[in-house]
Amino acid sequence: MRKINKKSQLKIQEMSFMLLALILFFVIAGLFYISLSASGLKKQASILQQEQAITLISKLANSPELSCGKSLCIDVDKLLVLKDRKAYQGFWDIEGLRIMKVYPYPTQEIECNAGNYDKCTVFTIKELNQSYLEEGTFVSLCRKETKDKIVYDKCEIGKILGGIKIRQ
Amino acid sequence: MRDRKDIRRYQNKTMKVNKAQQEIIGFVIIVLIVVIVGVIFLGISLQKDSGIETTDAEISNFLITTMRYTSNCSKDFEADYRTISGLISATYDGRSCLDGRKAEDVLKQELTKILDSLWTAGEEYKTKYYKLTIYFQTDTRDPNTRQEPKIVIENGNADLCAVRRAGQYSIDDPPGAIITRLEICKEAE
Repeated sequence: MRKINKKSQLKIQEMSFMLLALILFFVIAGLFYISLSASGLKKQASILQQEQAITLISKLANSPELSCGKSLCIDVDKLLVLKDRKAYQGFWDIEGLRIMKVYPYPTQEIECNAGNYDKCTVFTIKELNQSYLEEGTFVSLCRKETKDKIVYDKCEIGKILGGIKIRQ
Repeated sequence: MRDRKDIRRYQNKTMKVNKAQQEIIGFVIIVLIVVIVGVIFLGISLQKDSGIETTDAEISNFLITTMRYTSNCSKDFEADYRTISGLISATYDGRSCLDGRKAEDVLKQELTKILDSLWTAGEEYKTKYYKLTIYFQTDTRDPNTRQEPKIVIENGNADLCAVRRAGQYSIDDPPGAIITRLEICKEAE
């Protein structure tokens, strides 16, 4: 009788260890899967945040203060005027606003002013707060030019850059 | 009598060993099945990530702004410069610039310069590969009506693609439209 009892106890023990091992295995596998899917979510969240920032910055490019009349088009003449107006510093609901000429210009950053209008590459409208990340999108930079006394629109490729909050 | 007892003992022992072996084999089979299912599941979920091509706001915005870029190809008089979208239409109409250059050649030249400058592609860059195609589609709602591309500009190595993004811009040309499509391949994010 004792022998039988011992045997069954051993069997129960064996079974419980087996169950424990199985549960442990599934828990570890589950944790592995959750961590994998969570990292995917983080990636998706950062992509969405970036897309949101681009949409917000695109809206700024379409505001009447900057727009040349078409979507994603900035009037460079307006930029020169806006740049020196201190009253507009608090106007933009964004941390930092810069407009860069990217083609056909060198990558070197030269701040624009009335004197170097056609050789410069950057218009800083609002200084970037250091705790913010700069994100941007492509825009047309158009201005009036004259050739043989005929005025025409000259459009180049630029980027509008704005500061977005860095989420941890 | 003794021999019989010995035989029974031996049989009992071998039966116990057999049972234990069976249990171990069963456990190994279960673990193997779970691992195989896990690997297949992981493989499928990882494949999903790398193969899908997504439309990208940055590429679409790039195409919009590129279409407005003023080229050095004059139309009727010196200051009447064509934009890139104007050059595309002129290419399909077989027109030339005021100085005699073919609109198609100027378009290719300008687009190559813009793409090389803004989406520099190669193994050492973030952009691994790009491909720009310009084609005519007779029915804008039906991709099967797409004609052979007139212009194809590509650079980089398509085999290094990890994240594939694309955008397109269409110019109305009744009864269809001229479509400019840009596909960009980047390194894994």
